[in-house]
Amino acid sequence: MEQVVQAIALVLAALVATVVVLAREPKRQIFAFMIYGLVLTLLFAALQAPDVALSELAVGSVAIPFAVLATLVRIEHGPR
Amino acid sequence: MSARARTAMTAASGAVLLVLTILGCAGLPPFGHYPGPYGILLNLVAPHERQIPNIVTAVNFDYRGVDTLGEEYIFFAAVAGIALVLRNDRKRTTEQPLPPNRELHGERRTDAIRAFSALAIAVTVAFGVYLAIHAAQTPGGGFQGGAITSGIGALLFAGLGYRTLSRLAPQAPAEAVEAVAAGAFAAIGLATLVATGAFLRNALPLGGEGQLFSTGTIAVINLCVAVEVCAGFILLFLEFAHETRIERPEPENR
Repeated sequence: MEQVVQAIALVLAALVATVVVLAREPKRQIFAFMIYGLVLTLLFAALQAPDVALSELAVGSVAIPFAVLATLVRIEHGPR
Repeated sequence: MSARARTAMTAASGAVLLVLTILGCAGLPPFGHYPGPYGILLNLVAPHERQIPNIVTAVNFDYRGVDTLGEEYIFFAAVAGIALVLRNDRKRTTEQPLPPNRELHGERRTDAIRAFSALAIAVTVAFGVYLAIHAAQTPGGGFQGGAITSGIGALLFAGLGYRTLSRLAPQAPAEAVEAVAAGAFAAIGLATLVATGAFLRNALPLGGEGQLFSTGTIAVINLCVAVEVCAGFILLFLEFAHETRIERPEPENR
């Protein structure tokens, strides 16, 4: 049972990571990256690393996307 | 560099990387087989030695506390670096959002968005603070709790707007709190050095295993880390939120 959950999480991580790489448009890519953060959280939890999972939850699916989204706004709408 | 040369270089370095990765993986222990001995040893001695059920926290804030101090200052330096790079025009930042380059639908937030954000903030704070203060009992701790609590910065900005964020989480106090909390970790280290002769040696009463107020200096350091990380991430959100605002035009002559 444990191995099944881990295998599913690993396959899911590989799939979503591929989607992140294949998304060429930055705004789409960052939303894919957010989902990737959630999938990694599940993977770490499945591998019995809840501490790492919780860190990944905050950093990977909130902090990094926020910074990138704000940067995209600046690049697209900013002066010059 | 021509496209062909670039492809050739990518293929060559990719092939080398692939071989090295396979060689590296071949030397790994089988999946799920931890070779030890430190983890096994700590699992045996730490609950008794430090009265703590969560060994990861004991490792982070006690057995290899110096390492965590270093990590803490990496985080501190990263936030300071972001502030340094993004702040040069701070005096000229206004509350006006940057002009959209196409029609934005419903730029004013609906009541539903505001209400949901407020609810999400409440849940985030409750979960983050719970994680932070139960570092000794359950998975998670200062870093995780602080980082998740700081998510309110992102929620405030996205759900309630830039103005609410900059009012409720003003820059200067957040900076002061972050700096004091980061300094406190080092100060605890120095205090234990004076008191026990070893940097970050646990010098406080340990209390009973599983209790909220237990584990001596681990609990105090954990609290410092929680506050530092939370304030640091909120500063990061603030700095990036400022970037989405219009700047006043530069004065003609300085």
